[in-house]
Amino acid sequence: MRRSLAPSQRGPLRPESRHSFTPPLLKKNKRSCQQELEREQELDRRRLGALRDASNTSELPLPIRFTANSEYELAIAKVLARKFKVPMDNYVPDYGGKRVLGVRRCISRRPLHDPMACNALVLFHPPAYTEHERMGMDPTKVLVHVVVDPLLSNILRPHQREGVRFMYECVEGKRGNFNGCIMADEMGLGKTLQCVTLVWTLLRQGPECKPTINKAIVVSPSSLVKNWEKEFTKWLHGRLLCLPMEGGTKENTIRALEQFSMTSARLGTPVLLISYETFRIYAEILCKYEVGMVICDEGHRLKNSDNLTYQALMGLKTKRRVLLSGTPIQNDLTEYYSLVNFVNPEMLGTAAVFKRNFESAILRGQNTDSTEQERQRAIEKTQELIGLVDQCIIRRTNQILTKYLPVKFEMVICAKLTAIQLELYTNFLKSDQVRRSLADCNEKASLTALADITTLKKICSHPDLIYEKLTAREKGFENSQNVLPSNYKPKDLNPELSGKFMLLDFMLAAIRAEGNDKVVLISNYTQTLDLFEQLARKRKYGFVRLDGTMSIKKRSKVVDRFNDPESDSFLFMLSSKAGGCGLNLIGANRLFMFDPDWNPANDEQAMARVWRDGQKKPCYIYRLVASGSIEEKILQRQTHKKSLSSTIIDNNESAEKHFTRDDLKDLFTFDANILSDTHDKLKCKRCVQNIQMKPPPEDTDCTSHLSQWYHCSNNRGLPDNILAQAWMDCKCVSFVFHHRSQAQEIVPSAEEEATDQPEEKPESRKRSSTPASDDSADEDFRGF
Amino acid sequence: MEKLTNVQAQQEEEEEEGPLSVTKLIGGSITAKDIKLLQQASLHTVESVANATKKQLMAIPGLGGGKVEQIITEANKLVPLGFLSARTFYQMRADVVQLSTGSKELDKLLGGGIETGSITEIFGEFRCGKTQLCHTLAVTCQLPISQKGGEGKCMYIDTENTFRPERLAAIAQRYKLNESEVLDNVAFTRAHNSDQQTKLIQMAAGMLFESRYALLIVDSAMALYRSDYIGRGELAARQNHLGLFLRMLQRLADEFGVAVVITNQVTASLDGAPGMFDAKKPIGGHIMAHSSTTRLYLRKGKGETRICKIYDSPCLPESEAMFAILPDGIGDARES
Repeated sequence: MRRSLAPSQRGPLRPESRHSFTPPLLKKNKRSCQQELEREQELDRRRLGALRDASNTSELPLPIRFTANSEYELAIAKVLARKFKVPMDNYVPDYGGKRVLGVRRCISRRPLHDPMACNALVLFHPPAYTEHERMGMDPTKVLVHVVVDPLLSNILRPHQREGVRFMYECVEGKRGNFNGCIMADEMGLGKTLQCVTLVWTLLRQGPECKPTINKAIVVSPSSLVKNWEKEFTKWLHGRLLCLPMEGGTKENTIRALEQFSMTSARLGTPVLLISYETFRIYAEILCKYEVGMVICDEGHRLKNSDNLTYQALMGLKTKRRVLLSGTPIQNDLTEYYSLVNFVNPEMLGTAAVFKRNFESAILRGQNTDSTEQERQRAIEKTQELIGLVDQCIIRRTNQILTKYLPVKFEMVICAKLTAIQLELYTNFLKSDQVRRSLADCNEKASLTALADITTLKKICSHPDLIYEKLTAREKGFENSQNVLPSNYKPKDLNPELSGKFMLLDFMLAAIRAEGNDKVVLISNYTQTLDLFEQLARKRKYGFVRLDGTMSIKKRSKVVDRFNDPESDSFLFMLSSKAGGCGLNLIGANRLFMFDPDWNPANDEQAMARVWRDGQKKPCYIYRLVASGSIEEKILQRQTHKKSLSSTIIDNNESAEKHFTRDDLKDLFTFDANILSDTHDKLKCKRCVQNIQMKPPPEDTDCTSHLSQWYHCSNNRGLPDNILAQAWMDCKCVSFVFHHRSQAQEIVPSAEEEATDQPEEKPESRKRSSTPASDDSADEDFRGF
Repeated sequence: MEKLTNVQAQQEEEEEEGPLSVTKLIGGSITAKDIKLLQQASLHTVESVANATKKQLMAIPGLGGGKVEQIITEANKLVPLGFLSARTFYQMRADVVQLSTGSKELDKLLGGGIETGSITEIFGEFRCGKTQLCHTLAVTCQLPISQKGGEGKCMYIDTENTFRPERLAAIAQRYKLNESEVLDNVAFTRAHNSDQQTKLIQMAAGMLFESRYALLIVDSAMALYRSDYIGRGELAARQNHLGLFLRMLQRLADEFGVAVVITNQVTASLDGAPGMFDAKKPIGGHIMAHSSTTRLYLRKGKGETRICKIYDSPCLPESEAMFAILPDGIGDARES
């Protein structure tokens, strides 16, 4: 190389502190030369000493290129040769020191983060090499620890750490011969954060000291695509860039997807966020090349293995599949099978095999008219299924959250119908229309039966809702023309016409008077929301409303406004169909479910909006049903479905047997004088004359079956004095079931144990039930 | 005590992985004196010695033919010449550190950011954000690697007198960095002619070895050549000189793994169809085109927005991204 400066000027100026540290393992024969060099340097340094200013320059290496013959030059040199320091206050260097830039050979392998650090979450432990083994090994074959980024492991809660570990072990095939898993934690337990952690870890690390995967796809409902991007940015502080697919022209989408799909090397945006619909459309592009991992958010969308989205996702070339769902079983076991089959196609065999092996037997045992033998078989089969599926599913219930969340009271309130509702209801039931649809049982009739059910539900909610049908003299209302009072005005809401509305009105007034609690009102029907609006206007309550017509962008704005404690919004009206999932309404702590939905999962999703992370106040959930009416039957059906779910997922054996199919057919019967049809059906042993004599067992909570809740037919013993007050005032409540979330001190300390002994299999996942109480509980229901 | 050994172990590894000092060649008949000669010739690492031609080494006064032979053999022992499997290389490349540009969209376009260990050329008209991008990079390269920086200093060679430390301070604030330390970590120099420019790069080798640098910026690489060499007659000389200059940059990128960012000016393309919308070409001809690994073309967008297009890259697809020049450096275009 050409020389830039005259050698005479540089010759003596070669002090070099860099070499003052001699690695102890440096080759021996070079050692002597090294010392020689050092001696020489020492001489240099002394010679230089005279030139340097007396302060602390002695340990500073002086760059060779400077002719350090003036003080100015020295000062400059000092600054330039200063060791690099990250210009941040209190900066703690990353584990393993600075990484080498550019493409360089990498001799030693080491984990990305310190496995010994406090709070470190180590997902993979390499075998413990002895020093001797290590010396003999090929340094490029040493396995290293996989350690979750401290950025995340410092914020993960114990159950989330356990969840991340579980998912990692599943997708890496450490738990058996499969690579998929279902993360079925209930809402609010941080499924998203756990997934972010998993993706980030797999993208960065692996036992082989290279990334395990190079790209991942997150499929979610379209309204959550943006949310995923936000979560990734939030938890990782923008260290990982995502590729959200939303909007955009077709060409752009195709180009972006092709680019994503084809690149097998490192990507700027290694995580593709895409909606189920978009995925289906462009499945061909995405299924062409291999992907490291796929995550399906709200995975219960995949409950039907026949639909195109399911098929498209199955075609994806990946072995790591993670399915997220807060409510994995919604209707029946076939759907459940679809989910498990999606993540681990070989685990349960084909659909037909599954039906033959498990489903029929289990369902037979669930009916109350099953024989002892059938039941025994069902238990065996359930155990077998659980044994299989348990390997790849993790589910923790909200109970874990009780540690972090305030107490929650859930109440099922049976409100009597008013005289007008009663008349409309009975008239409708007696009409030819209903009788005809009950009489013949072919398919067409069941369609009209569905419409009839809707009409009945509307009558239960408020007569306003069927006013149009009434005036149009539609079938079923022929005899009801004179039922409405003479002063009835259709555009002007009169709460007195409906028992439920009356109760709601009284309670809202009491809540408003008492403090600054905010309230969420949920209904399945936007028409009911219209009535809520009228009520709010009438009483001058500030409110916001969210239904299907609102754009995604606007939704988050509305929610933010409501959650702001300074805002004057008192009510949040939510259509459960529109925005059940994902909304966060922790500004409110009271929630009314105005009408029950057929699918318990929908109701649960809606109810979880309030009692979730961040909530500070005790929560009250009110579920209103009209006594003795179809709404109670719907509620009963819900409990049946839920027990199906908890048998499989929660492994809750004591889940009680419920209504027979015949019971479910009596949807159209009605008893005006009954306090609560559900309570009667339960044949509760703890009550005498509808008065509870014995409290429910200690270890039950609001996730237990209704028969294990507190009941009351008067306003004594209610946990909420707003309701007690309203009971007295409106006189339309007939019966209340209530229970609270698990009290804090009862929560088992399984989490702590799990973190203490990381190798131990997590216990909390199987909340073992107490078998002793099973038999007695079963006895109660043998009667019907 | 344990901690101490840890630190030692780390230092050891750092030595192994970082550039190897020429002092490692000492042994046998190669003495410390010879090493000093090499260092004076701005060969500070074993790699640079191994990669130097014999001719270059022979030209160093004081080194005889026999010495040079020995030095070359020793250097080749430490930096073996040979093939490695593409897979190994792929893995080595897989986690090349990349420097964030400050704009998410631009980072996405570049597959993460400006790659270390290679030359990135940014060209475009005036006021299209070249210098602004350089300023932002001068700060982001100091961020920790986990925050998409390079954890190293920046060397800034300015030829157009456009370097503004005030801007660095503003950008430092955005990343919540200590302003004075940020400025301390940027070594700035001005070159007034093309010879100086080359000389500075030679000096840079020494500086890069002494302290950890993550980025070397030459803003603009061609400006001086454009005026130092005029007319067709000097074209060959210019390109030769330029070739050497770029070769040296490549050497620094290889040896020290620094990211090298050079800016370039454009010329109106006269041979193209006149009146074509976008007929700008980077100057420097083929020499320039072949030297830079990644070429980015910037052009002005609406208001403060700018558009970056990948003009040439061995691995990135040809596409565009929009970013914005904000008061605190390069950022994402605000949604209107």
